[in-house]
Amino acid sequence: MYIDYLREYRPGNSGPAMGAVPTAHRTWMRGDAVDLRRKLTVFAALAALGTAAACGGSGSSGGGSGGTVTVSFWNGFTGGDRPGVEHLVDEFNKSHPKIHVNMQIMPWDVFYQKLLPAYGAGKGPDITAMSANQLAEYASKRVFQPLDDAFSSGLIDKSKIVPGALQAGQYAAKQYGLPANFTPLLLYYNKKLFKQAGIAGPPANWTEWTADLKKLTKGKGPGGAPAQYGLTMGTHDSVEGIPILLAGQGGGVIGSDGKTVTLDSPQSVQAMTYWTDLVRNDHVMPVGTSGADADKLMQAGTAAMEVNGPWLTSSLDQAKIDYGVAMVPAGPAAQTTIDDSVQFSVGSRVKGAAKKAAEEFIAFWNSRDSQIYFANTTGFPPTRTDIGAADLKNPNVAVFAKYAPKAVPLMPGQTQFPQMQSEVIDPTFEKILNGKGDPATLLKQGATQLRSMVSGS
Amino acid sequence: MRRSGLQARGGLSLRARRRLSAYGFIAPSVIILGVFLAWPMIWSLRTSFYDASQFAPPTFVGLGNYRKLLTDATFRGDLVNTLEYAAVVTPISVGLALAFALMLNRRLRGRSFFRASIFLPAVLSLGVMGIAWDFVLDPNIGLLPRWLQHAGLSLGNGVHDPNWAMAYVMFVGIWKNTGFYMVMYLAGLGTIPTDFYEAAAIDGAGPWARFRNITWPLLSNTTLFVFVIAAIASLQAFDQIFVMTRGGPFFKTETLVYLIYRKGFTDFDFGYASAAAWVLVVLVFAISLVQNFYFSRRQVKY
Repeated sequence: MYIDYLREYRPGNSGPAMGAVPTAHRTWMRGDAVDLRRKLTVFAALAALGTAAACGGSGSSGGGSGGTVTVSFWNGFTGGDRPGVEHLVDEFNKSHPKIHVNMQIMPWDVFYQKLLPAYGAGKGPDITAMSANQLAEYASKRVFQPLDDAFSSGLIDKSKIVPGALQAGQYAAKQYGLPANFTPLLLYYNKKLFKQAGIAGPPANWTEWTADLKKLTKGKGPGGAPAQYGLTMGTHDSVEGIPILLAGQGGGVIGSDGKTVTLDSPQSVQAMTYWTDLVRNDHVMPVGTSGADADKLMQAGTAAMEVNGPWLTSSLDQAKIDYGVAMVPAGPAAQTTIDDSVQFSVGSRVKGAAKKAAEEFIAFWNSRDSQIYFANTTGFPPTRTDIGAADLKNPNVAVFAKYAPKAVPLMPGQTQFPQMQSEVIDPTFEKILNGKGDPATLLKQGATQLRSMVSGS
Repeated sequence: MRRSGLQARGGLSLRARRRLSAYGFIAPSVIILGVFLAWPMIWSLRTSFYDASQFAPPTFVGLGNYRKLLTDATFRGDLVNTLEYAAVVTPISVGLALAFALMLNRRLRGRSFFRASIFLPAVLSLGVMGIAWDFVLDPNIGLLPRWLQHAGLSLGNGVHDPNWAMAYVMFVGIWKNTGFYMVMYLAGLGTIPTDFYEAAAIDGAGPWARFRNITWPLLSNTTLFVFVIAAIASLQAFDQIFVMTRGGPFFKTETLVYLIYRKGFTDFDFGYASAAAWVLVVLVFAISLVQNFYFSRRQVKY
């Protein structure tokens, strides 16, 4: 499957050959369905139905009757943030009679599977919201278009947006994404367990953190493991926690230039060795947990600390855990953390009034009022710098907002981000934590793999 | 002039009409199989020779994807995992199915209950059961490790343990399919005439001799069928792995189908995924052929 219309933008290639597009769409569905065939036939049928249904009413951007511009908007906000998202879209539609945002919410995996085929068939959404980690690949293939004109036209005041949130949407020095949300990963701690262990507050640096972890890891659980862990972090299918530890020592995965692999730097090796020792010998953290597993441990009160984003708050509230949120403790070299962001993008074929309408919606989303509302309903920190703790009802949100400027991207501008994460970074960390080799050797192997995948130019 | 009675009114002979209605009856199946089975397979074979990434028009790369598979350490690991899974799960689930079928073919109290309990997993969704087992077996918050702890037993680090993760997904795979194969064996046992056993009993044959000389040979058709579908099912292991381990830790439980899924539907590298899929097709075909050959030589006709 490929996107025919991209040909428009390639010099020397004439004609988008729209007649061929539906065929191309169908061939994608027939594509490679051998062994998953039962699942896939169902999936293909659903995708066909879904696309037809989804695009039946919305596809024609820029058109519309009575001077209204209809823009379609796809995203995967199926979780706790859904009501907040729906409310903001409703508000926008009410306050902008000339624009109608037609939103489709679907699970993220469906979103990613449908998006390119839909664009290929000319029925893709005008606006998308997707993980900043995926954005570079789509931007590099010109599925989306730069949105820098939203600043120059004065729709969005660049100086009021959290710098990291803007950085997360950049590719090749252009703004392909504008923030839908942006958050640092912070340290959650169970206040009750801290009190039991006689610890007054969250640790400020690695020395305190190490001491607290050892105090909080105790008891005899199944199989000789502790009954209570000091820390838990997902090491696969999760936001990344271990790179934060590497960065605390001055190491990391890929440097801020987006080119230099730092996974095997002496600082990274030093940090990894330090933490591997804590995990393997002091058992301060269970090995091999996914992000969801880690959350379960925190909800069960089986782990005293976890590094995660604001989406964890609602499930901890439900589990009636008395918790606090703090900045990740300072390492020997730096006190830093990693960000997580969802970015709005606009399809590269959206022009004129439709593009203007899309940018107006994104500007509305990032307005002060919308962001105060969004922060208070979803727990995500605002994307703006001019919203203070006084505007935020939940003190935890204020903590996330406070440390947002400290968050840096894990691997900026990487077009192969998902593969780097699932094929190199996660397996490398899990091998080390399982004692399948020494940190220096395994990090070197991982770094060599990363160097062949890194987006160099 | 009147036509002969055998001549159809529309000018078609009875033969032609019969043929037409026969084709009419098989047409729906042929169309469905053709559209959803044959055509996707042919198309995926074609895709496997292309660099088809969705972002750009597919470019022909010949055997490039297959060559890449040969040098891909993950693919080789996955191939080994798949064969290992099939080599363990197939004989164990078929063996257990036969044992259960023999036990439950006798008259005993609560027979229907036991039959239903063993068959139940076969009708449940493997994905859902994977989630349930994952909860029960979780090393930190699961029920089973807690109970076993009191008996002094340990399940280690559960599905997160690189040395044991495969055993866990194998266990769930066996648990899921044994009941289905048992029902097939029960059906097979039902077809064996009881007079054979009566004659053997009169001749003084013991239980083992009766099994060895009557039951086992007369079940050979069932065994062939069960073994072939069990082997194919094991080579296609995916659901519980997707739910319980996501192929981890570090690819230790990743099978070929999981690789195909990951490459195709998370990385959108359709050419490479199709090539891997065709390797699996050839593998399944070869194994089924060998089994067919092996069992057909031992087939008993009666």
